[in-house]
Amino acid sequence: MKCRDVEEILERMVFEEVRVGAGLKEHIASCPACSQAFMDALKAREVMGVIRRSVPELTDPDEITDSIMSSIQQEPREKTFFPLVLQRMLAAASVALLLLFGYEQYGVVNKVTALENKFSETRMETRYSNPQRLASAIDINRAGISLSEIERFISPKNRARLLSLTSFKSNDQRSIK
Amino acid sequence: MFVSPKEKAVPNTPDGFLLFLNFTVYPFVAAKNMMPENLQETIRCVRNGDHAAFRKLVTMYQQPAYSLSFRILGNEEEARDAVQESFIKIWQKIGSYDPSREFLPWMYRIIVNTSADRLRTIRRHTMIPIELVSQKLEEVMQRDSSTCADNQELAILIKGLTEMLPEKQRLVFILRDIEGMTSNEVELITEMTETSVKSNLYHARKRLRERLLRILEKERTIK
Repeated sequence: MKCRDVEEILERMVFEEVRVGAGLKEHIASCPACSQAFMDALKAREVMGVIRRSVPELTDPDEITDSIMSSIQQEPREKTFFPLVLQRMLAAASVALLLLFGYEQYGVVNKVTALENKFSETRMETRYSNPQRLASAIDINRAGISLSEIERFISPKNRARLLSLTSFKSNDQRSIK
Repeated sequence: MFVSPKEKAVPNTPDGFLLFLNFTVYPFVAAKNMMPENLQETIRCVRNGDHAAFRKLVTMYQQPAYSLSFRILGNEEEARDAVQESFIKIWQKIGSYDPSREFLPWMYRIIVNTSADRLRTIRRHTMIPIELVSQKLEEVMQRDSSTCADNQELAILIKGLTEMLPEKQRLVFILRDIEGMTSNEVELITEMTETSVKSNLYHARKRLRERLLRILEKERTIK
């Protein structure tokens, strides 16, 4: 057994029960430093024993009881509006409602999102299928829409017409090609 | 159910011997054993505002509550006040106690929290010199091996040894190593996780051992 192993056992020995084996005993007998550490650990352990054994006693329990009892006469109690059983039932009902409406809500949100997407696509198609409107570079800039995005919604015929419009050509002809 | 080390039947082996911790009964275990079979009935009456039932409860548990509070605070007066305050809180909050759970951890949580609150205010202006701790320790140890310290000696020893520990480490150490609670009970009372309890106990023990050895070294140099 090495000094480090002994140190580890002595560390535990102060607070826990440990088995002192033959190896430890032999090492302690031959190593003065570990022998001193062992004696110190035993003493520290004894101190812990004294602290554990010594239960602080109340010198005047009746006086304290009376004092507590007179205090509670004046102290209002924390009133629970609902009794515990009702509290639990309410909690369970809340969870059930949350789950039910949460699921419903999820369905509604899903439908609304789908509708919004559809609506937005329809609007884009309607708006940009008319090359006259697209022709306005100002309009496009104001909408903040890229030209490649617009190309998705216009037919080849309209695209040609769009390119023929002077206002558009002068502004951004290269990018639409 | 908690089994104190003394109750464990571990046979000695020929190649070694067991070092038992030399204490009689852990305070928390004693408090558990005091629990009457009709405790739930008493609590039910207390919840309904029965003063006589509450007096019974106070009489039964004020001693273990004082013992715990004293060990946390290391001060007789403060511990008495903490006990009174705790029982008043128990009376006020008993409506929120869930009867399907154990009563003792719930009650101990209130006592520990009340004592910890007081500890924060008193620990700012009190420090016990190491020489005084060493002197008291020598006085106590000179008596026979089964001796106990009186309240005043105990206050100095506990304060002298644990005052340098941070609050959490101090609470975990007192509940686990002095009151004799299981890790699970400490978790319930302190509302800490298992890892946190283990880690705080490890650090508390390490620092306490160092402190104890320093005190013992001081004692040797005085001699």
